Amino acid sequence: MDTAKVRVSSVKISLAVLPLLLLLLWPPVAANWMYLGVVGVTPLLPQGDQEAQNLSTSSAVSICQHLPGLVQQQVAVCQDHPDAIKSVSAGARRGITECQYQFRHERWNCTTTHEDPDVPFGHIIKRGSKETAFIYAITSAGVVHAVTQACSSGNLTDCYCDMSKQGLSTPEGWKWGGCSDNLNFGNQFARQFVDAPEKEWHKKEKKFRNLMNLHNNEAGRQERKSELVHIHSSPNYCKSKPKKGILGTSGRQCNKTSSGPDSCSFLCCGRGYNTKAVKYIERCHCKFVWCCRVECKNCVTKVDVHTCK
Amino acid sequence: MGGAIIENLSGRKLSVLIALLMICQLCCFLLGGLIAPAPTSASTVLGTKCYDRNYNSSKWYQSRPVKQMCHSFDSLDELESGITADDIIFVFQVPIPREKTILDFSRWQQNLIGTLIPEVFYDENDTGKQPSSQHDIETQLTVDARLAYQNKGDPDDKWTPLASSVEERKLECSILAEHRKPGYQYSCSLIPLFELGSLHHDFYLLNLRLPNKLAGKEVNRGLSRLENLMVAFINQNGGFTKVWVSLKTVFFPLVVVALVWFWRRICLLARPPALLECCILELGAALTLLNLPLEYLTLLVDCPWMTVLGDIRQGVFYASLLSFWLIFAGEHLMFEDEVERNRLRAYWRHLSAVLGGCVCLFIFDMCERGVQLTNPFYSIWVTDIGTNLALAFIILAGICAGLYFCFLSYMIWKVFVNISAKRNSLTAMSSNRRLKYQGIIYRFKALMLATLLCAAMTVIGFILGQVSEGRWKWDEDISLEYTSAFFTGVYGMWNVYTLALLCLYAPSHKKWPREESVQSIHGELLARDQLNSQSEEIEFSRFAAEPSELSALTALAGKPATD
Repeated sequence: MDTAKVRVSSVKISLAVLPLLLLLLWPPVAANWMYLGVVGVTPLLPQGDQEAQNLSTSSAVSICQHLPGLVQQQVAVCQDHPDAIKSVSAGARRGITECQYQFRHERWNCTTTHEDPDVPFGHIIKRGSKETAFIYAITSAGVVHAVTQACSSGNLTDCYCDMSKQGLSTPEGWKWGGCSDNLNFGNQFARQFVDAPEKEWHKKEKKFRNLMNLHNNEAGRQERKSELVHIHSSPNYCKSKPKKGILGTSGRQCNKTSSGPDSCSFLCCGRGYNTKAVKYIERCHCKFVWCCRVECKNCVTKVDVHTCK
Repeated sequence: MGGAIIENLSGRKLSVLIALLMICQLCCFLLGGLIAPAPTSASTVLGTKCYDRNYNSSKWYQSRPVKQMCHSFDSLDELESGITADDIIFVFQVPIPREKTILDFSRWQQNLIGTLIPEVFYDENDTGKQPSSQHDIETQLTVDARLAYQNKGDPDDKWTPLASSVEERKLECSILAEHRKPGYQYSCSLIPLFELGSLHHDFYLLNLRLPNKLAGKEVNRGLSRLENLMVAFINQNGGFTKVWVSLKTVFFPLVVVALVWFWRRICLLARPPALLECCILELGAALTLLNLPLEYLTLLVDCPWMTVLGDIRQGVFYASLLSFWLIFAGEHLMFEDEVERNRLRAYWRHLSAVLGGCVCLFIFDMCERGVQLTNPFYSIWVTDIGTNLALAFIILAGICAGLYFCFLSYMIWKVFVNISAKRNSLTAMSSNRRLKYQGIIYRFKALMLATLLCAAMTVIGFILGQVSEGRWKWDEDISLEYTSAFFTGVYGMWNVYTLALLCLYAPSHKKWPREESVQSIHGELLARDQLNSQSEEIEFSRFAAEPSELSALTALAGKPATD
């Protein structure tokens, strides 16, 4: 627990670009586990060690310590369920993909960065804005989904078999009356793993921000839609502010005819845009053919491409 | 049929017997509800998607353990280029492990059914497509399916082929207009895949392929973005089998003893057995066949034919029960040509309805289950000819059932008409005839009441089962597994019903000499019983000397004019 915190703080200091004020205002928020979704599990393991790659062996327990940025409880959960860490990574990745799809037309488009493992979404995640709320909810939902899928394909062996009614242990209980479904395990696992850093920080610093993250994690896990909570307003994401993790919208493609968030006037924040006439040989009248190709005709179109200044 | 025990039993003995049977019935219900688990359990398994550029139909692709795992991929998007549908294998290895324990099937789990659940996602490229019918996707699914098994102690990669087949199934999916966005799923109908009549081995492996080309023909082109295949594996619960087989083990000797006792009673008669007695005997025999706990055999030997045999045994019992009701009603018509009725030939029209229905269902069952003995992936419903044939047999069986109920209702109505007619003239009859008719009416009414009670309980139970969620909670600790309780309850009910028939409708001829007219004696006894209901011990007195029971009947029936 302490090592994790020291790690996070030391990174901040070594960056030395954040004003001290920011550090005081925003508690060190550990969203590091989401990094697993950006890079995956395999590159983080000791290379060339076949046994270590085989996560179901007992040596896998040590793998959990190799993964950077997990808090103590997460390491413990990982050691309990070493197979599940792959699902965490897959789930976070699925969450990020979904986030990028949902926000593809917005000024902030859910860009991730490989540069700093502690802040996979850039420093923007330190602000308690509605974008952060969405990141927490969608990655938490991704983990539940991935763990549940791994349970039902049999790739994860840890999933529960609820036999409380008969009071029998697993093999006998399963033969007697079968098992319940896998959804429970995914939820419980995510609650233990994903919520761990927030709970830990909250215990120490009693910041409202941690409660917000916990709420949004839970909201993501619920099947029915529930409201996300945020405590800060969103910045406008217009200008590039690398210190705050804002990339800016310069260079983004915009839609001249749209009146939504992807419209040129909104997306370019009034800076105007460049227009280039491009001749496309476009694929059209497409059809997805199982499996795995898209059959299309070629259509030649002339398009004006608008990019924000 | 001569006098039956039910008429001669004192009220107290009768109530003790009925109470015993009722307790027995309640036990059956509670056994299913409190001890047994649900009859079946299903586990939905997500197929592990594997690929092999050199797909080999004799190679088995498995998802566990890690060392033997095939080359898998998560999503179609991350698939290497150049891989076609022919190279993709959906792997289902069951049972799936739980709580870090490798599970294996037990032979108590009896059977395995697989249902295919496709996960088709909406693709941006689907936009231009106009639905050709009420479903957005309606296409033929061609599945190359292979099934293998492994037993404990086998090497991890040793799989013994069980069946393989290329099957056509219909895929129907639809999507709401507001969900026509990438990332949303179509909702597809479930597709029956296979049925294994015996679950004899420990582990099963299912390899499915949805190829593009098959024997030079292009197939599976209309599938759209099928991302995942899931299979719901449904098996009988071991606990339910144990409770069920115990029930059979208890009822089997009970019914056999009752049957032997009944048969001995008939053998002691001087006359040949009446038709109705033969009918009860036959019903008892059919129930004994059904009760025979053959399921023990499946624990030792691989018996894929057990489900077929089970269907036949059940069919024989229900056919016997239906025939019995017909003949029972017929034999109580109280027409004056009673001797004529005492023959099977008199019921040929009615019984042919029962027989016809049973034959239709038997042929249908053999077409489906019979073929499944050789190919578990076979289903009669997938081809148009098969569907029509199956429907034809089921409709024919339905017509037979309709005819049967018409016959039965007509007969019962006739009996009631006759009863009210006879009741009016009872006082005018000689005491002999009056007692005889009173006996007939009493026997008929008792059975009618019992049968209606049984039928009503079955129907009410069935409806309650449909309404409730399958499990009822009394409080935190006690919950009632309703579906199981219904099954064991109904099974116990027909056993109790048949036992009651064997005991109460056996010919009554205790201790008195054979030459005497049972008919008259029991009539006399009935009269006495009515006079003095407290009398517990039945005493027998000579009433009239007649050569035999049957001749007494004949004599009675032959002189209607005197009344």
